[in-house]
Amino acid sequence: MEPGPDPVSPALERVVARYAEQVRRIGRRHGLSDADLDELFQEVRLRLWRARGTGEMIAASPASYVYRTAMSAAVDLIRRRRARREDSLEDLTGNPVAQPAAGEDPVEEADLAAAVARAVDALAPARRPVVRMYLAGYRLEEIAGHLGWTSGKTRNLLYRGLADLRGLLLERGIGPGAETQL
Amino acid sequence: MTDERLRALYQRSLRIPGGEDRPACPPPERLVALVARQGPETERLATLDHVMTCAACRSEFELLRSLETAASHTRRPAALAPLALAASLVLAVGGGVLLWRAFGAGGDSRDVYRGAPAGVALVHPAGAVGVVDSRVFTWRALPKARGYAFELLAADGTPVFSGETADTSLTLPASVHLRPGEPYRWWVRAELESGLEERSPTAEFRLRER
Repeated sequence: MEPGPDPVSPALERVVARYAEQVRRIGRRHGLSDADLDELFQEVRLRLWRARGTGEMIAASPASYVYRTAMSAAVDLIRRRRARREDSLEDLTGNPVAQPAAGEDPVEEADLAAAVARAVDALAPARRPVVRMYLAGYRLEEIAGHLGWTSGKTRNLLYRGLADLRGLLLERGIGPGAETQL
Repeated sequence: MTDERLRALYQRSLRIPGGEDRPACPPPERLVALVARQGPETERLATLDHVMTCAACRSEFELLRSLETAASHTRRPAALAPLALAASLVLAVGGGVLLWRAFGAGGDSRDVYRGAPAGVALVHPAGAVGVVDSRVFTWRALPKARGYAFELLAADGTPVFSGETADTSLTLPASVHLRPGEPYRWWVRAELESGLEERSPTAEFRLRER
């Protein structure tokens, strides 16, 4: 006797696919790897299948349930990797492959990078996280959305923070007008 | 020094901790609270400060942030659908705009908007609205709110107008022009007496084309 059509897999795909695609689109912008997301959503499918059982139940899963399942699976994934002391998820910073451009002295570049990091550390706590997010590559609207601030408040704190940062670097002889020209 | 140069130098400076350094990192629950905007803002900013200096935490944060952001995109249409139904009912009894506002001011819309449970509940506008209704924004008062910050965004996320008020409504100035047929999103952030903040979900509306 031929097995009947499997109603669970298509239901799982319908429930997970749209959400997974949104996550991939958002995550790619900041370097999140497809491999990490594949692993996560495989776990999400397994959890939905175990918890909901039938194709009908899976198909009726609200988006909020899929979201909670995915967050829970992500936290467990992070815990497992930390416990195994694996390299964490994909390195998003470009390190250690980020190398100085041609003609730049690697030692001098490393010193300058350390000086920038120290200057950021010295910023006022209210402005520092905004500046850090911006320097890490996040857009103004992403920062505002993440912090739940208006774009005006975010822009204000960012611009003041960047001005402070340049001032601190100048005091340390780094920047236009200082001995070390960048 | 240009922003790009600062970014390149900063990103070169970020540390990549080995496994033995991870006890210094915030637990995953703190990262979840950060992306879900739960807990005191000072604590979240402190967590964010670490995350943005630690390549390992940042990749974990980015995974959770993508899940949270995608969920908010997916949830939005479902959250607005009951509102369209509520609008139809109000129009059906012939109350028009005034009755709609009276309903918004006196009724309990918590069953209509299911954004952040403790956040600000938006009342109007949502869905397709006329010219007059597209310019007045109302939301529910939050206990112990000192004031509210309002933001109106175009479909691509570009800010159209932002302002602050102690009231629970805001009227767009005449200088702000909305295009008929185009979707707009708006949201409100309440600043509480405790210094904490609560934000609303996002509501979407469009100005009816003539």
